[in-house]
Amino acid sequence: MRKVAIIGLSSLESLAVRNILEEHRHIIPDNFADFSDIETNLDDYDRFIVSSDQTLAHLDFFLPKKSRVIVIASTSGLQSGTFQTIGRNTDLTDIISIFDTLLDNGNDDEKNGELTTREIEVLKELVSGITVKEIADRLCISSSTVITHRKNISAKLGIRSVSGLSLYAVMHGIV
Amino acid sequence: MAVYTKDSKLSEPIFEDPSIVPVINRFGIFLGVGDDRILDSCERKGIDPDFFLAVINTYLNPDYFPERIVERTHLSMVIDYLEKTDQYYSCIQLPNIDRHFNILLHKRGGMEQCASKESNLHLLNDFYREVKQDLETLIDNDLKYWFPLLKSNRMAALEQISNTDSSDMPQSLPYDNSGTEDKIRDLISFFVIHLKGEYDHNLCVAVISAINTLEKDIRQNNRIRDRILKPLCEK
Repeated sequence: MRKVAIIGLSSLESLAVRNILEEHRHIIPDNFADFSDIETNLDDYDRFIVSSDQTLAHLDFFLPKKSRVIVIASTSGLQSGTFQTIGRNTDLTDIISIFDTLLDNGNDDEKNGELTTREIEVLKELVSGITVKEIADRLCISSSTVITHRKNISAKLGIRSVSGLSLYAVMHGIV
Repeated sequence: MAVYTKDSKLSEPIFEDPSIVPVINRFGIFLGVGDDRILDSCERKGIDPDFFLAVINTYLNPDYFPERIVERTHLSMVIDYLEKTDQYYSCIQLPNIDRHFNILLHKRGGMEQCASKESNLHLLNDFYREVKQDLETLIDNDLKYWFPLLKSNRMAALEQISNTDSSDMPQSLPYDNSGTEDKIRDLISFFVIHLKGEYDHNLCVAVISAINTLEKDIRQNNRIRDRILKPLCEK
């Protein structure tokens, strides 16, 4: 059974999500007003239904898990296509289908060798054009650790040039 | 991997790897080579056989380092060869990729229409344009700066190469274009690993084959730059 967390939704939105999940999938999600309320027991949950504000504020956590996240979009600050999104105009059939996809998908992120949270942080800095030393200082790690992350990123993505890494970052809404 | 000698048949390296054909074309030798030995073909065409063998063995064999490239005359020969290589990229290979890519972008599933909204082909095309511009800059540097300078005043060229701080010279040396090689490989990776959305599968094969042919040619000719041009420049 999937454990689903609702994060940062209004009372009305969380009630609607809860009713749909309960009625169609017999799943009762846990509700959290803010990311900080769930931070200590994140590992207990494997699916997340999150407000766009909370997603943007904690992109480092949600981006690597994007196939396990649905964003309830009340604002339009997110790159389209990065996350599965439900907006004001999404009809009920589509909402149910989106929830089904969320719950039925495997944990693809881990399977297809996508980047870890730390690697995404290093990638963001790399494509901003700063030096390895500057990245190391910003992230409070050694230069050799940055170089190791860079090698691992290139090996996972099959991309070596900074231009190529920048394109990947744009494609995936990392920058 | 075989190392060819003057007594090898010219058809042997072609059978081993047909991508050598544009290389021998740059020497004025074309398909229909008959039963000739390499030495016979070179004598007939007035080509230095040692230089010809150095080029084809270096091109085909990653572990081969030519030993007989010692003569000053070989510098002008390798420059002539690399000029033709650059022209081949500009006039044949890049326009070939352009043509296939443009058709791919405007055709999907056999119907005339733009690539689907969720496709990232347009981003890949933008990246290809960047790679193409880098390559064209390198070619421009070769044809307008390095090669004329190396031919007319080798000592002045050597001075420029050793003084990398000079603001007048191009940023890259005539035997250092590894950055472009990396970017072309990245472009292939984007197609192989990161391509999304709907696209015409057959046209996509044509694009990736054209890019792959260019990447292979650049990679193998970079060995010629590194193992023949560079030692001759620095001698």
